[in-house]
Amino acid sequence: MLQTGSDYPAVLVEPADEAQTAAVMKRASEAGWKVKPIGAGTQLTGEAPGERVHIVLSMGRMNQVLDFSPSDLVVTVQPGVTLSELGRVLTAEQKMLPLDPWLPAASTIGGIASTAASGPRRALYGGVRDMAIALRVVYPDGTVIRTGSKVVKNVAGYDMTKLFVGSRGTLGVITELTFKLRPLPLHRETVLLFGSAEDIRLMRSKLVGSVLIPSRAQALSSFDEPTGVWMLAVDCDENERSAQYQTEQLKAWATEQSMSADVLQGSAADDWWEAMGEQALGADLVVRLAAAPTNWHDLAAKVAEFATRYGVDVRQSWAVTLGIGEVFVRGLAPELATQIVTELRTAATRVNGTVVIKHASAQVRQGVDPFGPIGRAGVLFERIKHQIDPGRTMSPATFAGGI
Amino acid sequence: MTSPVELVRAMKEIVGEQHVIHEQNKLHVFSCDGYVARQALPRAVVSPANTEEVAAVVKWLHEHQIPFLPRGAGTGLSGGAIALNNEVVISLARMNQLLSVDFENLRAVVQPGLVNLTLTKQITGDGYYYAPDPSSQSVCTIGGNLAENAGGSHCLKYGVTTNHIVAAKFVLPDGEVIDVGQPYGDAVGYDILGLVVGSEGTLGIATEITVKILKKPQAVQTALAMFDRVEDASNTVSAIIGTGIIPAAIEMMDQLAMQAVDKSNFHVGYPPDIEAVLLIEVDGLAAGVEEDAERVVEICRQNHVRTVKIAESTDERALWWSSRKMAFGATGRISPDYIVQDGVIPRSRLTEVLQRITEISRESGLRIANVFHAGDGNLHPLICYDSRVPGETEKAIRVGSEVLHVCVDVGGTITGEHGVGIEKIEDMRYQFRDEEIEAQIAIRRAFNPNDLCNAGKLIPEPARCVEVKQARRIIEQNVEVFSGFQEQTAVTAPDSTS
Amino acid sequence: MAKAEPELVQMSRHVSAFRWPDAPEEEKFSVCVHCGFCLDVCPTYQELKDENHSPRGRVLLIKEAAEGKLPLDESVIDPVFTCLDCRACETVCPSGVQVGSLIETARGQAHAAYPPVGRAGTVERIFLRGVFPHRSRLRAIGKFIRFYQRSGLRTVVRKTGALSVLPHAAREMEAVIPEIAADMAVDALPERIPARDAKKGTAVLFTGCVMDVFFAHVNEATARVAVRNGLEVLVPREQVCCGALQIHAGDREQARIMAKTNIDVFLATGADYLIINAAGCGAALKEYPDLFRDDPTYGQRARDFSARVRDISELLVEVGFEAPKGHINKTVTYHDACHLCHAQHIRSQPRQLLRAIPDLKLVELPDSERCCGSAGIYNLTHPDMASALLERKMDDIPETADAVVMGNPGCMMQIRLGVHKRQRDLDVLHTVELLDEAYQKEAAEQ
Repeated sequence: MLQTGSDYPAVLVEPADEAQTAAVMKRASEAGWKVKPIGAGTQLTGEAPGERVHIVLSMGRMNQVLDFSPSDLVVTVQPGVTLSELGRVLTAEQKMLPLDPWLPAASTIGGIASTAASGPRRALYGGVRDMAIALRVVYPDGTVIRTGSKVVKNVAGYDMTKLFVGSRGTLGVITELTFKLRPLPLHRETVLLFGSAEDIRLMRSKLVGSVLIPSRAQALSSFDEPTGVWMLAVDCDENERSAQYQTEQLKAWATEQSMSADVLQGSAADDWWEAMGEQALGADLVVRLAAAPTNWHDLAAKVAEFATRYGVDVRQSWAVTLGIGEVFVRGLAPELATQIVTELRTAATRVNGTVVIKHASAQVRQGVDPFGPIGRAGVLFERIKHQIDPGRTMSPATFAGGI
Repeated sequence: MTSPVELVRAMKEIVGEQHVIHEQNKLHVFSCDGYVARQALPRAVVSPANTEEVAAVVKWLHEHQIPFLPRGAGTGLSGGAIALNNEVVISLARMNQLLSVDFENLRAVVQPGLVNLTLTKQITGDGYYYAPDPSSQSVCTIGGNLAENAGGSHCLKYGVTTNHIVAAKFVLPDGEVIDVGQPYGDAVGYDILGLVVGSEGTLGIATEITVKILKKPQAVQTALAMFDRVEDASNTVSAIIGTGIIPAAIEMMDQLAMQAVDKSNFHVGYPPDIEAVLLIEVDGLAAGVEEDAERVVEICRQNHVRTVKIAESTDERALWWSSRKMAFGATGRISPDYIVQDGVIPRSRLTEVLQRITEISRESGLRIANVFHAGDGNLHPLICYDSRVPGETEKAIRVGSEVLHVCVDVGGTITGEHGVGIEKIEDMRYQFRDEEIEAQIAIRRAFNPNDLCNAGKLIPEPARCVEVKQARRIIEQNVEVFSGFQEQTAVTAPDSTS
Repeated sequence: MAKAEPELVQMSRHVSAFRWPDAPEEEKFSVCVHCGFCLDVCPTYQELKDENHSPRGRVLLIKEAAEGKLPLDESVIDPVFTCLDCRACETVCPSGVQVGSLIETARGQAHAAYPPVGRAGTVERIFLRGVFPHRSRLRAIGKFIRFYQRSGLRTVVRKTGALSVLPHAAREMEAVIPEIAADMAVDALPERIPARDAKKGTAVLFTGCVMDVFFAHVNEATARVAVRNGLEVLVPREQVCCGALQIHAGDREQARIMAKTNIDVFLATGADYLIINAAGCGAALKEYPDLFRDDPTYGQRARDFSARVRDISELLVEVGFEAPKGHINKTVTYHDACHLCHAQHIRSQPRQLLRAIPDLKLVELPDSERCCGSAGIYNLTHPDMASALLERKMDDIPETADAVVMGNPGCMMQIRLGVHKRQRDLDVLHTVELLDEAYQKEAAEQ
C-alpha cells in the first residue's frame, strides 16, 4: 500500500504524459480536489502529515530519458526515471549526474528534485539546485510552463527552476527535468581513515585548510559502536596522479595522528559507497542536521550522548566539509523519537543550524514538525503559494510552515 | 503627492545630509549604467550605510508610493540600473565592507557594495578566493553580481554567482528585512534565495551577503592556442570536454576581437591572419594539472592548431587574461559604438551558430566581433556601429535581436550572464510564452505587490495585456466609429436573428 | 514659419558650454563606452563613492557640457577640479580615453569662464603666475626660505603664530620643507658637463621649479648618474618651469608661454634627450603638443621636443646603465608616482635601477600606484581629500621599510608630511639619490 502521508483514501492516477497530467490538474482544481504528486514514494515519510488529498498523482509511467547530449553535458528526463536507470544511461557515455542521496534504488529523479535530496558528492558538485537547469511544470490550473533553459548558463527571467526544486509538490507537478552533467571521473579512489571522533575532527581541519580536492568527505560511525570508532572516507575525482598525491597526503597525516588507513580504487570504491548507502536504509528515524562544519563534531557528540542515554542504536554520517549530517536511529519508541528530534533541534538552533526529519513514522511527525521553524523568509512562502496555487490544490499542509 | 522637498528632507534624515544627491545637474551621471542606449534621470540618489538605513529608506518610499531601484557600481550591461520611472536610486557603493571571514568553514559575509575582486584580494594572502569572476570583477560589486547572477570566465568549472551565494539579509520592497538562504546546508522551505539571485533588483535589496570562498588551486596552467580556422577552435572545445577534462575556463576570441584588444593597453600580439584564439586554463593539484595541460595541448594539435603555448610566468598569464577581460571596452578602439550581446547555445552548435552570425553580419553590413566563454557556449557578439550614422543604432539593435533569436532557435537563451534589464526585455517574448511570463509576474507580485522596486525591467508586460491596452486605446481614439458600430449592430442584430 | 521656433530652441539647447578655444575634443570623450572599469581605481571615487567624482562621471559631465546639455556651472567644475589628474583611470581604460587631457582642457574652459577666486585664486596669483614662471623670483623664494630656516626666523615665526595667516594645509607643509641648498642646481651646476667614458649622447637636464628649490641635490645627483653612464649633460640657464601646475589649474595660456620658452631653449641646444626627474613635469613635457593643437608652428616644434623627453630612470635603462658596486644595506619600498606609472607608463625602470644596487632590499608597497594626494597643488586646494589619501598611503607603507622611494618632488613633499605627522622613522628619497649614493660609495670603496 502506498504511504501517502494521509490516512484518507485517495485515487491513484498514473498519467502517461504531460498532457494527461495537465488535464488531471485542470479538472482537479476546478472541482476543488486536492492533489499530491509522487514518484516512487520513498520519501513521503519525511513530510508533514498534511490535509486529505483526493488524488495521488504517480509519475511512475513517465520514465523516459528524453534527450541526452553527451557533448553538451546535458540530459533531459521525465520525472519517473530512477536514479539507477539514469546512471546506467549516462555511464555508457562516460558522464554522470553527481547526485548520490542514500535512498532506495527505486527513487525517482522527480522525487529527488522535489525534495532536493543530496548525498556525499555534494561536497564538490553541489546539490540539485546547482545541477537542475530547466524544468517543465504543470501548474495547479493545468497551465504548463517551462523554467530555465537547456543550456548551462541562463539568466533570462527569474530562476524559477530553483523555486520548484525542493518544493515537495506543493506548487506544481514537474513533468520534465534538464540537468547539467559532469564527466565520469576517469579514476576513482577512496581513502578510508579510522580513528576517534577527535581524530576525524583534526583530520577535517587539515583537509579543509589544504589544497586537496575531496569530491566526498564523509565521516561515518556505525550502529555497533556509536561512540567509539569513526571512519572518514575521502574521495578524489581528479586524474590518477592527483588522486595519488591526495592519497599520499592523507596517509601521511594519518600516520602523524596514528590513524590507520585503507585505500580503495575503481569498482571497489564504487561498491563500498554503494554498501554505505544500503546501510542507511531500514532505520526507524532519519534526521538531517546542518550547521557550520566546525560544529559537526559537537553535534555528533550530542547525538552519541542521546544514544547512550536512551539506549538506542545510532549511526551517523557527516559530510564534514559541508556540515551536513544524517542520523539514523534504530529501535526506538515514537515518543522517544519526538524527544530526540526536539532536543537535537534545540542543540542545532543554538549554533544557527537546522534539523529536518527525513524519515519517521506518521505518529512522530504528528508530534513534532518535520521541518522546524522557518525564519523570517517564511512570510514569502504563503505569498508565493497563494500566487501559484490559490486554491491550495497541491499537497496542502505537507511542507515547512504548514504550506 | 509627496513633494520633492519632503522626499529630500526625509532621505537626509535617514542617511545624512551629504549622502543624498538631488540637484538635477548632479544626477546626470546616474542616468545610465554600462548600457548607454537608454537614459533617464533619477529623482534622487541616496547612499545608505547599513541594512537599517536601507530598510528605513525603502519603508519610507513604500509608504509614500515612490518608485526606487538599487545600484552598485553601475557596470551592468543590460540597463538594470536605469531609472526609467524617475526612481530614487539607492546606491550601495558606500556599503563596501567585508564584514567577516570564516576560513575553517569557507564562508565570508560582505556588504553588497564590496567590489568582487576586492574580496579576493582581501583573502588571497590566506590562500583563498571568491570564484565567480565576471570580466568587470575589478569594479563590479557583489551586490550587483547577486542581482544579475553574474557569470565569468571560470564558471565552466566552478559555477556562477547563484552557486556561490548561500545566504543574504534582504530588504523587501515594503522595507521588511528577512533572511534568505542558509549559510550551511539547505534553507528550510522554498528556495527564496534562488529566486532573489538574478532578480535584477526587482524583488528587493540584499544588504548582507554570505558567500562561499574557495581554497586557491595548488597549480594553474594556462594555454593560448591560435587557430587558422574558427571551426578547428570550436572542435577543440568539444574535444577537450569530451575527454573528461573540465578546464577552469575555455575562452575564445575571433579575428576582429583580437584586433581590438591588441590596440588596448594589453597588447598580446596576435598574428593578424588567425581566425580564432582559445585561452584554456586547467587547475587543481600540481601533480595532475601538468598532465591535463599536456592533454589539452595534444588535443589542440589534433585539431590543426597553428601555435599553442603554455604561459611561462604569472605575468604572461595575467597579460593573456587582461587581454581577454578588456575585450568589450577595447571594442571602443575599432568602432565608435557597439552593442554586446550575451546569448547561450548548446556547445555542440558553436560552429553552426558562428556561421549564422557571420551571415547576419554580412547581410546587415555591420561588423560583429565575437568574444565568448566557449566552454559554456556563452557568446558575446559585439555588434559594431556608428550612432552618428542615421538609422544605424536601430539597425544594430535589430541585428542584436536577430543574433539572440538564433541562439533561442538552437535551444539556447537570450542571456547567460548580463541580464535582461531593459535591453532584452522584448526578446523575453521570443524565449518565453505568455503564460511563462505571467508566472514570473506572479512571483514578482509575491515580493513586490506595488511594483515600486525597479519596475519595467526583466519581465515584459504580457502580450495579452498589451493587446488589451492597445484595443482599449483604439476604441478610445475611435470612439465615434465604435459607438456608431455598436448602434449599428444593435439595430441590425434583431434583423439577423429573424 | 511655425516650424522655426522649435528648431531654434533645439539649437540653443545644443550650444556647447565650452565657448573658448582649446576645448575638450569630441573624439576624446566620445571614445568612452561608459563601462565603469575606471571607478574603483579612482582615488576620489574610492573616498566619496559619488559617480560625479569618478572618471566615467567626469567624462560624461564634460561630454554633456560640450553638447550643451549641462551648463559650465558648479556641477561640472567641482568634479573636474576635484580630479587629482593622477591618470590611474587611463591605465585601466579598455577603450583608451585620455581622461587627463579632457580634464585639463575642461579646466582651461572653467578658468576662462571664471577666473579663480578664493584659495585657488590666491594660489594662482601668487605662485602659478607670480613665482613659478620666473626663475629669478623662484631663486628669491628659495633664498628666503633658506634664510628663514637658518636665521632663527623660523623659530620666531612659529612662536609668534605668524604662520596662521597661511591656509592650514600650507602651514602643515611648512614643517616639512627640506633644508634648502645655498644654490639651485640650475645655478650651481656648470652649463656643460662632459660624459664619463664613452659618450652615449647629449642630454639637457631639466631642473624644474619645485625640485630645484626644495631638492636641488636631487638634480645634482641626476646630473652625476647621467654623466656616470655616458651622457654629456647640458644645463641651460634660460629654461623655465614646465607649466604642469598651470595646466592642472586650467591656466593654459600661461602654460603655453612657458612651454614655448622651454621648447626654444631645448631645440637650440640640438641635444639628443631632455632628462627630467620629476614625474609631473615629465608628463607635462611629453604632452606639450596637446597645448598647441591650434598652432601649426609650435605644434610641430612641440612634437619634436616631446619625442626626446625622458624620465631619468627611463633613459638610463634605454641607453644602458652600469650597475653600481657600492653597497647600500637598507630595505626600501617604491611608490609609483601617478605621472610616472599612469601618465608615462614607467613602472619597471625605477625598480630595475633599485634592484641593481647591491644589498638594497626592495619590498613592494601594496597598491603602490594609488595617488598619495599630492597631485601638484591639490593638497593646497583640496586639503581634506589630499589628507585622506595621504593617510591611506602611510597605512600601506610596510613597517620593514627604512625608506620610501619615488620619482616626483610633489610626492616627496606630501609623503614627508605623512612621515612628519606620524613621527615615523622613514626616509623619503628620490630613486636617483640612492643610485647616486651607490655610485659614490663605489668610488669610496675602491
